Amino acid sequence: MRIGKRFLSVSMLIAALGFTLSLFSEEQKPAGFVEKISGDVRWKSDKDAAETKLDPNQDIGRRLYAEERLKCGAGAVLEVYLYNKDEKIPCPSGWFPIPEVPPSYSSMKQKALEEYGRIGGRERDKNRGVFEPSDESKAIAAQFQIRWVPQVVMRSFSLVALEKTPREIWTEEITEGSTGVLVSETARTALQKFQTESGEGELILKWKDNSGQTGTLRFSLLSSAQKTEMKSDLGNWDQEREGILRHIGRASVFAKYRFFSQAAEEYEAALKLAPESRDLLRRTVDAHERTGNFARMEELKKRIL
Amino acid sequence: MAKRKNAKATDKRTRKILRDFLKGLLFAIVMVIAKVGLEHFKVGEELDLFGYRLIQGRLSADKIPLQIVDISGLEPDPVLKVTPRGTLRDLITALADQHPRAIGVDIDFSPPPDQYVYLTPEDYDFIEFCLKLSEEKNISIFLGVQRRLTLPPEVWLGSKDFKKLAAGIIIPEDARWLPLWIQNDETFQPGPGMGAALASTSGETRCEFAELLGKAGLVRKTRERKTGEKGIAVSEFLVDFSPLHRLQEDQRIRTYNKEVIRDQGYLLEDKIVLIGDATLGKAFDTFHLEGQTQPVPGIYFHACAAYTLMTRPLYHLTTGGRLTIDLFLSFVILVVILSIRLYFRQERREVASHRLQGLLTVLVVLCALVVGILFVQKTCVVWTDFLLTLGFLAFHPSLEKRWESIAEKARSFAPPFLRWIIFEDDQRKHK
Repeated sequence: MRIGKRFLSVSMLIAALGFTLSLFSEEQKPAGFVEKISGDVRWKSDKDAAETKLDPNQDIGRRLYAEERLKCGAGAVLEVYLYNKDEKIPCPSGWFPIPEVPPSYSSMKQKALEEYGRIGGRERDKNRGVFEPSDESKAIAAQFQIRWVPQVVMRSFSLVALEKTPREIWTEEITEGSTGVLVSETARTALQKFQTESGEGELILKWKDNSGQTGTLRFSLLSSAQKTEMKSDLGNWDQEREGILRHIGRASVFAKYRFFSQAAEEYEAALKLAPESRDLLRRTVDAHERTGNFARMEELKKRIL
Repeated sequence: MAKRKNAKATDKRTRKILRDFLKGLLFAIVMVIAKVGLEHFKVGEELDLFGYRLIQGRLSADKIPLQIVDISGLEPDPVLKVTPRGTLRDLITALADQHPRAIGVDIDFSPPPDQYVYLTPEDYDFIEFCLKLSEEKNISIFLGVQRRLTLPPEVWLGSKDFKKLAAGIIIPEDARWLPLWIQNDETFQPGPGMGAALASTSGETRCEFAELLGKAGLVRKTRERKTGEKGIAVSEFLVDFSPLHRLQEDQRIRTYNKEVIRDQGYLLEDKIVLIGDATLGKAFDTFHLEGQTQPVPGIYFHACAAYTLMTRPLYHLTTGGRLTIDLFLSFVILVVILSIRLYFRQERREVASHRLQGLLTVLVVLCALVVGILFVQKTCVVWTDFLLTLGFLAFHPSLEKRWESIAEKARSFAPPFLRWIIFEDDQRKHK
């Protein structure tokens, strides 16, 4: 065992030396080398080459070059040293090529990209987790709160004002990320200040969860004139006696003013009064889908089937 | 004697006419400067947007060689949380069998920017499958990229082998302009936007009239800019959104089922096909578009971008172009009046230049509206600040009149004031 460990250390040292020396040679420079293998790990030199299974002993320290491919199977371990950084590859991985430039190069430009625009296409359903505020909805600054599906453990939130030069107006680290709700007075104050200064600007809510996934959504603030209008419209429905019609009416008002999560709550209240109603069930499913509360949406969908 | 007297009077009149012409020209320059200043205020920006909406309304879509395949109903894999690659593979295979011109997939397939592995273990095989299918069927296939746009295009989809499939699906804040290419470092090659990539399969289209103006530096098809502190460089072009409504209503197949694709193959032959989320309320990537009351899913922006480059590229006025038009319109009026006044300078009666100016202004404004707006379909030139220009032109005569009376008052007031400043009447004060 001791001999085995010594052999491994020596191999690593030789690999590191070889790697360093090769940096000074005229040949293609390696991007890095293999640090640790166990289980099913495969390699191929390019797209069309035959694959080779790597040996956990012999291939320690193997130099890796750009455009070579690696993959690891379920239960395997693959650790590499690439572009001066240790990387633990999550297995199973599927094939992945070693790029010509280190991925970390991108971080400098990431802010510039975010300032320029955002994705105009489907991306991973990170979902959103957050359903209040929901995407393209409205919020009232003084009543602002963030709600998300409790299954997602949130780590941090921030608000960015979409002005000519976007700027962050609030950020907060979350200690209890699985509560599903955050009421932050500092966020409310920041939003009220923003509303006073900028009027009806747009905002982006950004978040990061415990697994490192990030998400964003856009929303804007309800103006005082619109608030008065909404209150009046809701008031008309509040005159109806308690029942399904009143909840549906209120839901339509909330939807009109883009308070999608409140609209979903009204449908939920109506559904409680008529739990067998398929039409109400469908409307509630649609309402939750609009907010991004897919967890609840899936739950309700099962009742339709 | 009389002849000499007449000649003298004519000379005097000629000089006055020329002086008036120069004064008019100077005033026109001042108005243009004021108009350029106003452009940077909110009212100028609002008028520009209004002008843009009016012009977009004048554009109409002819044959639309595009088809949207709306997969909003396709739920993400509940574990991997991505669009199921197997379903996409079947869909793309079925589409490729219908001989479209090109296929674009409006989904981000790039690995995360700070990682080496793809989002799912199936992604490499899926991308490789698309590459092989593209080569086999001789159809261009483009896969969306967003996460790795900050890296060189060689690694947008992970490997340089996949570079020709990669197309950026970013939409900027001002979504009237979409990227032709994105270059995040001077040392990297630029990579195409999705609309540009799809349009490249059809060859470049030009607008002759606009190309002519372009040679004189008055208009341009694209604009280049850098974003952020350590900026990325983009080249953008104005998008024609006239096909939007038809794309949403008539040219959208709502399915992810390969059998439905096979049945509707006749709709797809020789078309550019875009796959993605196209239903409002289901698509998360929605954007505000001037003139639209509802947000629009991103896929339509890429589709309209491809349409623009394939059928009728739009040109915008350069700064020089805008100034040239602004000055030219005033110059035309001044030259006509000058010519008429010079022609009739020997007449006893004075030419009614102010009335003429009013009539000519109306005529020029109408002509400018007809050529600039009504014929935008033919000219391809998007003149968004026409309201501001024509507004200033229309008010030019009355403003000039007002200016003349202010100048007159200033002339009568100034000399006594200046005399008081310069000269001392009371000699004792000097001593």
